[in-house]
Amino acid sequence: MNRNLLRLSLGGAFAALLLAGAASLSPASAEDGKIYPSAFCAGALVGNPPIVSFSSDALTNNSTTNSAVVVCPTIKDDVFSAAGLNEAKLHYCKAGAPGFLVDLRSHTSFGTSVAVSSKSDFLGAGCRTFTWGALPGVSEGFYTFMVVIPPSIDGVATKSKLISYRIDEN
Amino acid sequence: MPSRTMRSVLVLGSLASLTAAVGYGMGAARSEVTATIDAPSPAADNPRDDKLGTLQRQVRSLQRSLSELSANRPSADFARLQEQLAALEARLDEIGRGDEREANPEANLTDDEKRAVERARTDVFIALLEDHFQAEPRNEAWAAKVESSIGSTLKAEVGVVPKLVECQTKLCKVEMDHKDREAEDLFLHKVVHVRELGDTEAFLERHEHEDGTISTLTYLVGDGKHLPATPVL
Repeated sequence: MNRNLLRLSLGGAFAALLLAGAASLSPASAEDGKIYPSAFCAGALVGNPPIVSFSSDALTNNSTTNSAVVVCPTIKDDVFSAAGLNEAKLHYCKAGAPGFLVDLRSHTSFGTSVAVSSKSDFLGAGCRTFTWGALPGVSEGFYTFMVVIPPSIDGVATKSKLISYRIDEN
Repeated sequence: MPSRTMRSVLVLGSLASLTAAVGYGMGAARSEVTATIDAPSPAADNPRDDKLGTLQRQVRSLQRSLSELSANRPSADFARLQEQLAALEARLDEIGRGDEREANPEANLTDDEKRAVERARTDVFIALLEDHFQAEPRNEAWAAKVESSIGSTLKAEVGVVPKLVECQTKLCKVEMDHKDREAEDLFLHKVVHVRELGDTEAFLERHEHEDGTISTLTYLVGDGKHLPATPVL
């Protein structure tokens, strides 16, 4: 039996402990997601009129030439949990083919990134949703979305915009 | 000597690491499981004591199983895990004799202690990822294409040639030096958006040097696939 198989054997043993431990230490899993409007996000309002405009329903990139980069915070509601995220979603619209890019990042309490899960959409105009699965977490760490909103396009009714996002820790 | 509370956190953290290592193997070789876990006992009056008793029984079961495994197949990994389990058992016994009731003892850790915990967690997962990487066969056509794309993307958009780019069948690893945190941040954004990789997951190990430069080792998986389950600490 090679080393990896040995590790898997051991892993099986620990799997049992993990399951038993989870049963004894954690409350029942439940939806605990939080939804954030895009107005939470921060980014440079460059230009006149600004490339990015905030409104109650979306954060819109008004530029027809430049992408806008914004960082969207989340609130970690279990400060000392290192269990990570179960799920995350981000709702957006885009005006054309230029990429709508998102990094979902897990940071330590010191700000450094430990894990990243990226999504990108190079399809045409439309409103869609990115969905993430599990992402590692760190006790006292935090999560952010780094979002690249592509330019809007003259004559296209759908502007490129970020609408809302959510995370679920449990 | 660390405080009692701090040691409690560190040792319990070790358990978390050990349990987390499991996710890595959960998808395969389930038939290889040789350990048995003691059945839980009826609930105690005090929920804390009940949880503690459950953990103690689980640790003892794991120690027995580990001893059986390592008797015929000695390995450095087993030796390390045995040491961690022994320390954990001792600590659980100590907790059982004491009256530590803090809801969140982690709050008492110093920044250095928190860094040590984070380092331990990262080390465990990086070791698992490297094992996984080594076990993967190399898909020459895919690997060569993605390695080239990662290298050229980083050179063009970050201005630095990575020290190492290696891909196998679905995992890639990238070693890179950065002049500062800003450069590291840019690298991270660019490397997870290399077009040939599609949707990407990445895990990083990083070292900050005294001169302010940073070295990172990044494991990536693309095409919407997922990294192995991660250690919890």
